[in-house]
Amino acid sequence: MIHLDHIRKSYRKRDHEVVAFQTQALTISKGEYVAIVGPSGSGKTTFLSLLGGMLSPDTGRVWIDGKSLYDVSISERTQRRREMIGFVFQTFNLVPYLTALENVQVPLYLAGVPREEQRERATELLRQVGLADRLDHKPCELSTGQQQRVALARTLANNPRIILADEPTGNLDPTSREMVLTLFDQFIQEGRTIVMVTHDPGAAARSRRQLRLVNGEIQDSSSPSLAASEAA
Amino acid sequence: MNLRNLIWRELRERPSAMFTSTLAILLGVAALVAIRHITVFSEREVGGQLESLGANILVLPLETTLQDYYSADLSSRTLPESHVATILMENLPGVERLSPRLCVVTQVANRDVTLTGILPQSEFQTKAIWQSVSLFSNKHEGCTKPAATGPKSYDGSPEALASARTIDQLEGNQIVIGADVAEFSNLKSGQSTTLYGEMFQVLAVLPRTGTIDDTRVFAHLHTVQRLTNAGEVVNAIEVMGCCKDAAGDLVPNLAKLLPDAKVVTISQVVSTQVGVNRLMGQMSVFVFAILVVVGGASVASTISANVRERRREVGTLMALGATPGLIMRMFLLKAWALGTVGAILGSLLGLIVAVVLGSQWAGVTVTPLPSLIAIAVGSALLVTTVAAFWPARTAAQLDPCLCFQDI
Amino acid sequence: MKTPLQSLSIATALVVLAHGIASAQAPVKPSRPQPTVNSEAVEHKYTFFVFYKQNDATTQAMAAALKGEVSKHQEVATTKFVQVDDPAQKALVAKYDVSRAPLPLTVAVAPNGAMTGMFPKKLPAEGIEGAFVTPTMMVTMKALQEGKLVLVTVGGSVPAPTPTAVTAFQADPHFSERLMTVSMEAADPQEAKFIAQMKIADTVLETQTVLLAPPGVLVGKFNATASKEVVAAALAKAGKCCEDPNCKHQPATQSATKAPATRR
Repeated sequence: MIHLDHIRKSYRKRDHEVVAFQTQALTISKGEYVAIVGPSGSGKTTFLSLLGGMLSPDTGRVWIDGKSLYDVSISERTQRRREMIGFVFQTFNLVPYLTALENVQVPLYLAGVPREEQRERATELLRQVGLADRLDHKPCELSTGQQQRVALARTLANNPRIILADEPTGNLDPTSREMVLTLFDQFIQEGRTIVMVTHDPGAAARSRRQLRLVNGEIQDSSSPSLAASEAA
Repeated sequence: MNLRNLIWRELRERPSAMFTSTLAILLGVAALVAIRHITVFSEREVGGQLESLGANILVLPLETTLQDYYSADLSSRTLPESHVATILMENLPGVERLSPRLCVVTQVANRDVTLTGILPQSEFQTKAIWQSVSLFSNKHEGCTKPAATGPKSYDGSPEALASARTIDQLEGNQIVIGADVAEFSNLKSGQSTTLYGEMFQVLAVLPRTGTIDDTRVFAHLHTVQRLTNAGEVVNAIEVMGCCKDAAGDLVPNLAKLLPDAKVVTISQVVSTQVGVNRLMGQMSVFVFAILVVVGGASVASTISANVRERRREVGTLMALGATPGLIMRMFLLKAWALGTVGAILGSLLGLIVAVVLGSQWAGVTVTPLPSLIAIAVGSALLVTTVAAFWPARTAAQLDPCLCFQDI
Repeated sequence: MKTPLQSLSIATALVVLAHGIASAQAPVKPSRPQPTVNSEAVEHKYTFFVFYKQNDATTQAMAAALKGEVSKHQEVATTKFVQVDDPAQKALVAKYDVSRAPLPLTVAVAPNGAMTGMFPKKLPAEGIEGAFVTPTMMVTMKALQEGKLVLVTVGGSVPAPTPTAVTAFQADPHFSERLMTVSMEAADPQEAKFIAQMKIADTVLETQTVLLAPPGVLVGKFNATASKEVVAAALAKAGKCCEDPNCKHQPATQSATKAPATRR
């Protein structure tokens, strides 16, 4: 489903070129549960940005469902991102002045869904994540776990086939962490593809495939135990 | 959820943050609206006076200071009444009518009124013979007065005294009263009242003029002279020229003929006001420039700060599928909302100030000028748009990867 | 000192007046009190009334100057002094309406009662010569001061019948009572002053009609064939037709009322 072909992305800092990410070829199949592990500054965020259509590579192509992501206009790329990709952020990135319901409605609005339908779908999604009684609460009135559930509901608003998660359990207590990972398992069962950047070995162990990033280069470690041994 | 809700919810969250830029626009628009309204109505007032009094000249005592044409005769200083005859005998070209006046403050119904002695035009009929002594009246060559269409070129009825500045017939025991006098004294035409111990019959009530004439009681000049023991004197002689051009030529002639008097035209009386109006007109341009600079800078600063503090939100919205165009519209519409609120409130405030100050300081009645308000509001919105454009564009060009950054 | 011709002119004028002027209409009773030939004026002479309040330096200076001037015209002019506060002179003061005029004031009155000169405060440099008028001027001024219209027929070198308009006006009852018609010749040396004031060449060929309206407005000059309607139209245009707003001879009167600018 996702294929990276001769990708290279670098930055220049004080006349010094830093390769943020590069790979000759990388394929992530439909329905895969992939964990990206690696030390800080290894290029995980750059990798997610490339996959999410938010950072164009210096060279190479990113293919999603056979279509090059960066050979189309910004508006078309934005549309594809909106329709196919959902994001889960470490800091949840909820809009602080909107309620839980309104936060979930935002991607629906961006997709052009009518107002009444927005409300219905957002309510249903929040019910599914167990927040039916928190619709009118703002993020500051929710616990971190509840905030992350609102964020997950928002991620699912447009029924994305690909979920890109950046440290989804980084700020959560154990209970909430488990809740999130359980939801991820559910997403996989639903046929979605998950690419998760994480420092959490336990979270990485829940994935089916692990990719290790070192200095911007992929090292494919299929075994779930690798992350555990790396973390150790 | 839609863009309007997104903007409104964000504004509601932190209203005080927008207060400064809204206030700057509000004050700029208020000042512009107030000054322009007062200027426009003051210019109209002056224009009206020049139009209706442009051919008139005032002959006043030498030491008189004059700020208002309509109260020119309220000075305590006097001129000999014989100056009227002197002017007539000189047969100056362009002199149509003369109206000498003598004023004194008295009371009617326990309220102060200005008893104004005025010489009716009937008193000049005999005097007109004097002009025939040189056989031919000294007609003003090149007179721009429209051709006469009747016996008189003015309305000599008592009710037209305030506008025509003269009255044809007024007996010694008759008075004509201003609108305010009639109102507080409940006097009507045909009724009688007492002044200085003598009975007077009200010949007519003048229509309201909005000038000091509303508080005047007009009586025969010689009656007022007798009642007040003033002697054969007047406070002012109004000379009605046939046209503005004649008035211009009459001034030096009259000044030479009456060296002990001051000769002024309405143009001279309003010259100060004309100067002030011009200054106010220039000031309104200056205020507009301030509006542009200060208001614009404030809006630009506010929106820029807003963009900076919402960078991750913008990145997240882009990650969720917001286009750069939508992001730009979001910030522009927010700026427009601020500009619109500032412009509308500023227009209201400016209008209130213009109505109050116009009446008290400039003596004019101000009414809303929709075109002027529309220009002020439009200018404010334009300034807001221009000021917010660059920050909004910056927001639209933000890197969506900001959503991953720990800001 | 006058020239012999000037003295002859004045004397002739007085004689002509004494026998009446052929073409003048009988004066009607004036609509308002006007100076007339009466006992105040000396018969056949110009009377110079000096109105004064106080016998001060200015009055004495005027009296002295006038005395000198009148002495040059003894046969046709005389002087009378009038103290304005004298009860016996009240009627005379009121008649000339000089009670509030700048005093001392010299008023020149022709033998027929027409005021021909007014000199406030002091005599002009040219003296009192301007007060002596031609015979036709005298009659014309009298009529104007009585509030009448005057049609002056000025004959040119080519003899002509009475102008059409003059005849028509005389026959029109609307005008006949308030109109005086006089005639003179442009080349008449006695009328040179009048001719010059009307700006007519003394060598003009055709007869002209000059219309004058009170108090001294030259309404227009017309040739002999001008119709009455043309002359009446000029009179109406000058606003001198009559006081009747419904008069058929003038356009509808427009209101001249103008409201002043509203303040406050």
